[in-house]
Amino acid sequence: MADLTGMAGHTVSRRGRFLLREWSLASLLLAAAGVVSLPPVVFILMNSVNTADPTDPFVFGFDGWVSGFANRKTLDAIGYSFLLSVRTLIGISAAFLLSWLLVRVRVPGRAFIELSLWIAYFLPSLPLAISWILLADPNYGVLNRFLTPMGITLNPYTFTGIIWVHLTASTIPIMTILLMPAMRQLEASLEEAARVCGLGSWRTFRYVLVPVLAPAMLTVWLAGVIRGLESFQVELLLGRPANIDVFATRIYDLITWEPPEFAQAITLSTFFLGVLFVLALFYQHFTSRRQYATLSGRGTSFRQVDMGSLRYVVSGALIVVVGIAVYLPIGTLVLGSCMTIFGYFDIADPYTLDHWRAVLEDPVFLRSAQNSIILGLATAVLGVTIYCLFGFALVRTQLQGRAVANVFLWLPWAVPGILSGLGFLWIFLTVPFLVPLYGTLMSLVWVLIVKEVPIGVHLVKTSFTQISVELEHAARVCGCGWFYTLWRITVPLIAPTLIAIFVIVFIASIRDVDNVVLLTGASTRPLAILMMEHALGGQMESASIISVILAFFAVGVALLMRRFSGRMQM
Amino acid sequence: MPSAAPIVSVRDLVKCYGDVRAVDGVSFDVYGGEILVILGPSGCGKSTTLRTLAGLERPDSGEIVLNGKVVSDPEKGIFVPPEKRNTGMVFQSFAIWPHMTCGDQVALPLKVRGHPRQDRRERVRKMLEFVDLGGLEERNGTDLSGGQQQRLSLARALVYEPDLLLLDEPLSNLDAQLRQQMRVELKGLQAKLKATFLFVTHDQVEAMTLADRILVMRDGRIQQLGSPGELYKDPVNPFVHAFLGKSIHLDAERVDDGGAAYARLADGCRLALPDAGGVAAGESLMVGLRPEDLELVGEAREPGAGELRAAVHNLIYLGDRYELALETCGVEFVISLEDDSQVAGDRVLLRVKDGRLKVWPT
Repeated sequence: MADLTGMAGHTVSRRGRFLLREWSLASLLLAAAGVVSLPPVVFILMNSVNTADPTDPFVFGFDGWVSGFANRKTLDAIGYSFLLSVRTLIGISAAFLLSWLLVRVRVPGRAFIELSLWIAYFLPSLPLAISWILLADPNYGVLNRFLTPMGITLNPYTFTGIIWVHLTASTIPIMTILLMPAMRQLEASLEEAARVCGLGSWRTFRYVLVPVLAPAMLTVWLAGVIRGLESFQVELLLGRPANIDVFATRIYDLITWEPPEFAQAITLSTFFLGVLFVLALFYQHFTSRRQYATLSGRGTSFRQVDMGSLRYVVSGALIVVVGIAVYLPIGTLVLGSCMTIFGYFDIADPYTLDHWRAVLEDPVFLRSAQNSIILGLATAVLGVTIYCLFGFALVRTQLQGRAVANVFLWLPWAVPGILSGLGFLWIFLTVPFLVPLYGTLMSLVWVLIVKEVPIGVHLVKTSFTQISVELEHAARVCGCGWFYTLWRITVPLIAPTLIAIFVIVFIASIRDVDNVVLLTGASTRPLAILMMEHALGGQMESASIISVILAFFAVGVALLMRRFSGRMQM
Repeated sequence: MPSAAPIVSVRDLVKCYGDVRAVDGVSFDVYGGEILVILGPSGCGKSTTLRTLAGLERPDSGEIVLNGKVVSDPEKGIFVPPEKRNTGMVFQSFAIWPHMTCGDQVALPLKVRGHPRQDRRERVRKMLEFVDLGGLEERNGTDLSGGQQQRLSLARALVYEPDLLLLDEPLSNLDAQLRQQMRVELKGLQAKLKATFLFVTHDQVEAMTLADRILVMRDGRIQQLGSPGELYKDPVNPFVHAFLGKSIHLDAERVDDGGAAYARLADGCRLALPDAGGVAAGESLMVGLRPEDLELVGEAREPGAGELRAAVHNLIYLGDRYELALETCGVEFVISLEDDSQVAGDRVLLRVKDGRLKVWPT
C-alpha cells in the first residue's frame, strides 16, 4: 500500500509533464508551420488598410485601394496578367499531345526529347528571355538577319513574344513532365476495349483517352494558371519595351520607384492573393478527389499505339521543335557571350573572350557568385532539414493540429514570389528584433526556404508514406529512440528523395529573382539579380555570360538529378 | 513451467479508434518461459493488444506491468516509450531494414544499449549461428529468402535478451510448407532459450502447435484463456468451440422427462443433457458437437435418446478413409469413416459418444 501511494504521489507530476509535452509539441509544430509560411500573407493583408509607409506608425485607411484601382496602369497590369494566362490553354493542349506521343506512341528519340524537357524546365527563364532577345531583336536579332530580307521581322517585345518564351521555357515542359505519369498509369484495357468495339485510333483518342485524362489535365492546368500568374522576369525584360505590365512587374515598379508607393503595391497584392486563394481552393478540391478507378497504381504494360512510319516523321518534327525551343537559345547564349558586340558579325573582330575575362575578374561578379553558392547551399541544407522534420511530424505523429499545419505549409505555393518578397521586406523593416536581418544573406535564405516549403514537405511526406512504418517500429522496439530511428532508419531509406529535394531547392535558390529582388542589396546580390540588372541595363554580352554560367549550373545539377528521377515522385 | 510472478500483467486494457473499442477491457498475465498465443479472427483486437504491450499504440485506459514495472497507465499519465521497454518484436512483414547488412541489423539493438564493438561482433555471430544464418553477416538483409528473413528478424529481436518477445502473425507471410517448418523451429528455439513469447495469430493450427496457453479474443474482448486441451474440450461458448477445430452447432430446447433433462432438436431427436448448463425447462439452448464425437449406428430405425438422424449428401473415398457429408436440422457437416459398409440409403443414425455434448444457453 505504501508503495502504491508513493507511486500515486509521484505520478501526478509525471502526468502533468506528459500533458505538457504533448501540448507543447503540438503547439510547437503549429507555431513553426505558421512562422514559416504565414508572415508575408499576414503582413500584406494587414497593411492593405494601412496608408502609412512601413517605417511609420500604422494609419488606418483605404487610400491604397482607392488610388490603386483608380490607376490606369494598375488596371492594365491586372488585365494583362489574366490575358497572358491564356498561354496555359495552349500549354496544356501541347503538353497532352506531347506526353501522349512520348508515352503511348513511344516515338523514336523520346529519351532525348524527355531529357530536353527537363533541361528546359531547369533552365532559369531569364537567360532564355535574354537569348530570345539576342535571336529576335528587331535591330540586331540573329534570326532577323535571315528573315527580314524575306519580309518577316520577329519582335520579342510583344504579347506573342512573351507567350512564346513562357511556353517554350517552362509552361509546356513542366506540364508535359506532370502529365506523363498519369498517361503511364492509364489502364491499357480501357483503350483496348474501345478498339475492340470498333473505335479507330483517332476516335479512341478522342472519346476515351481525352475524357479519362481530363481530371488530371484540369489539375495540371490549374497549377499552371496559378504559377503563371506570378511570372515576373520575362515580363520585366520583354514587356517593358512594349509597355506591357503584369501585376508582378507593376508591384516591382511601385516599390522601387522614388518615392515608393507602398499602399498601392500592397492593395494590388491583396487583390491577387484573393484571386490566387480562390484558384488554390479549386486546385485543392480537384487534387483531393484525384482517386480514379481508371488509373491503376501498377505500372501497367500497355499496347503501344502504332503509327507506322509516320512516327519517324513525328519524331523528326518534335526534335526540330525541341531544337528550336531549347537548344537554339542555349547556343545563342554561348555565342552571345563570345561576341565583341552581339549580333555584329561584320566587324573586324566579331569574336572575343574579353567579356568573359572582364566578368570573371569583376569583383561584383565574384561577390555575387559567392553569394549565390552560399545562398544555394544554406537554403538547401537548412531546407531539407526543416522539410524532413515537418514531414515526420505530419506523417508519423498523432499530434493535434496537423491538419491546420498542412494548410499553413501549403500556403506559400499560392503566394507569388514578388508578394512573398514584399511581405518579408515589410517584416524586416518593421519587426524590431528582425530588423538586423535586413540586408543579410540570412534573410534571403529564410525567404527561399519558405518558397520551397510546399514542394519540399510534400515530397518528404510522400516518401515517408512509402516506407513501411514497421521498419521504424522494429527499431523503436529494439531500443532506438525516435530521433535515432529517424536518423539511422528513415533518413537513409528516403535519401534519394532528400537528395532530389536538395537539388531542387539549390537550383531554385540560385535562379530565383522574384522572391529576393526586393530584398537584395549591393552586398547580398546573387548572380540571378546581377544578370537581371545587366540585361535591364542593356549589357547583353555580360548578361549572357552570367546566363551561361547559371544555365550551366542548373543543367549540370538537373542531369545529376535525372539519375535520381526514377526514384523520385514529382 | 509458469513461474510464480508474471512477466507481463495486463489489467482492463482499453484502446479505441474513434467510436470503435478495438480492445475492450482485456486482462491477462504472461508467465516467464511460456508461449501465450492470442488467437482470434481479423479485427478482434489481438494485434492492437500486442502493439500496446510494445508501446507502439497508446492505450486509452488500463494498466500494463512489464517485469514488475508499470509501463503504461493513462490514468496516472504513465507511458514508457517502446525503446525503454526491453521487449523484442517480430513483425508480419519481418521489417528487415533494406539498407543494412544482416550483421548491422542484429548489431543495432546492441549498439544502442552501449555494448562495445568486440562484444557486439561476438554476440551477433553467435546469434546468427543460433538461427542458422551463420556467416551471412555481410549479406544484405533483403537479399535473403523469406524463411531466412524471418530468422533474421528473430535474431534481431532476441539478441539483446528481451524480457518478452512479441510476435505479430510472423508466419503468415510464408508459404504453407515453410510455415509448418518454422512453427517447429520456433517452438524449439523458445524451449532452448527459455524465453517468454506472446504470439498473435488467426490460425488455430498454429495456436494449437505452439501454445502453452491460448487466449481467444473476439470484438476486443477475451472469450477464454486456457491450455489448448482445455479450450478444445471445454469451450465456454460456441465461438471458441467453432474457432478451435470442426464444430456442429444445433438449436434445441430443454425438455424434462422422468427426472432426466434432454435437449430436443428441431426434428424431434433427443440428446441427454449432462448438466442443464443453466437452462431451465422449456428454454432454448444450443448444443455443440465435433465430428469425432459422433459414431455411426448401423441399423435403420427411429433414433433413440442420444441419437441423431442425418441425411446423406455424399460419400467421398480418400484412400485411407471416407468422408461422409451429412445434414441434420439444416446444419451440414462431414464425418470421417474407416469403411463405408454401414452407409446404405439416404439416411443414417448417429450416436453421440458419452460426455461429449456441449451445451450453452442462447
